[in-house]
Amino acid sequence: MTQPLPRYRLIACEVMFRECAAAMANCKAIVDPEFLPKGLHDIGEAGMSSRIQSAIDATDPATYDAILLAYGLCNNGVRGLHAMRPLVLPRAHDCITLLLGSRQRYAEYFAANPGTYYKSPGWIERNTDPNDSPASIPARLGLLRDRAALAAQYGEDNADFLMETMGNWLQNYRKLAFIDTGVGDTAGYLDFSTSFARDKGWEMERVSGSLALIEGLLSGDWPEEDFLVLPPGERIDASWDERIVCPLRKNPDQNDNG
Amino acid sequence: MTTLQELAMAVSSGNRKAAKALTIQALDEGVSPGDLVDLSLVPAMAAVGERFKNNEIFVPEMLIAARAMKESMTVLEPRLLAAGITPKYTAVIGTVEGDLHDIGKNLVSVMWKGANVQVIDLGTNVSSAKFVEAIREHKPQVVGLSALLTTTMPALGETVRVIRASDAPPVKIMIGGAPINQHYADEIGADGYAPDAGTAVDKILTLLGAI
Repeated sequence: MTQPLPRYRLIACEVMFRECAAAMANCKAIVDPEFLPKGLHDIGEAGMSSRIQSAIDATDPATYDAILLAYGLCNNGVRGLHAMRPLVLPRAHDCITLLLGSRQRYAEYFAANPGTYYKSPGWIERNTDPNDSPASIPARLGLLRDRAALAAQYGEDNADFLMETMGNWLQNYRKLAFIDTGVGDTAGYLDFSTSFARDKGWEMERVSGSLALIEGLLSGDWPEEDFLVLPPGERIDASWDERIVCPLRKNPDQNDNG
Repeated sequence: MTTLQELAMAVSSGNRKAAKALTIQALDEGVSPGDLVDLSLVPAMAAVGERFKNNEIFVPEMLIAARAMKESMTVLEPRLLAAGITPKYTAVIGTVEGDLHDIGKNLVSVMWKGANVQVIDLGTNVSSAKFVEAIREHKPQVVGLSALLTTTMPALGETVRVIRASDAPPVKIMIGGAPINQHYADEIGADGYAPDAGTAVDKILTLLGAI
């Protein structure tokens, strides 16, 4: 071996398990991954960031050259994260950018296709029922109860009304986009997507994904344009502009989320 | 317990049949329709908002209370109209361009109506131009803008900018949605932010100077 490879700790959402595994197999680095459960964006900013921060804190800084986050801003769930090693995060609103390969591509698709519900290998095969997570905000607000539960609690008449009013969060969607990242059982995912879209009366489109952003993350190829490389000790913040994420500029004690 | 108190109880507990019957009873007893709204329905919904903020009740309870109030209003509206009584304040509300998630916006709308604010709901995916047009047409005191995704948050800033730069009558702007916080509201120059539909009532009343 001519030169030692860099060693990275990857902390990733399991929704991108196959994509990360495919990229890890060939990247020019030694990567030790930890996958966290999908759906953390649903438990609120504080809940999500504390889960990821625990994984960061459990990482031995002496072993790794950097800690990589396969996450987006994800409903602000990465705000406040900090590490004793460089912390690297793609500039992305959510995993759809990582699956499509660039935020520009996501922005263009998003603008051209309002009301689109996205699926990917991980979003299909790791699709857990949100009702299973009592910590999720929709569950805590009472938005996810089924008709039988509502009828038992509020009576038959109210159950219909409530189902109509709250059980309908998908009513404004018109299309399912299956992001084909080239991993896993593509034929099976396409069957699933086709029948899911048919049940809802939506159009289905197969959109080609890309591992480019994930490969760049794992290979140490981090252009400023596409990645935030946060120096040790600083914290991640949302930039509210096209950069999406940036180092925290304000007093870190400030808690403005509430 | 007076009929007005019983009516408030019926509304806050979401008993719409009782709400209707008690509304008719109160009118028969000579209570004016305006007093019915101000002294019974609005306080009942304010109590519901308070309990929601404190996590004592959840979205379903809030919605069935609002439904009970609507039942009472169905009886009252023709009489209010005949007496020339209209809500004192008007608000325009919608989700910003690109965002089609409307549950939060609908809840705020329900609770604002509960506070006897007339609400013009523009729906989802509303362009800044449509907001400006609605402000010209309805002359609201407040506009509510909602976004669920960080992806669509820039449209909040853009809509605030376009409204402020337009020749539409001046208006207070409130924003809300899962990823929003006060810091962001300040940054884009919104007048108010509320983290939930209960607080959105307090906030609109503060902005209206009605507390």
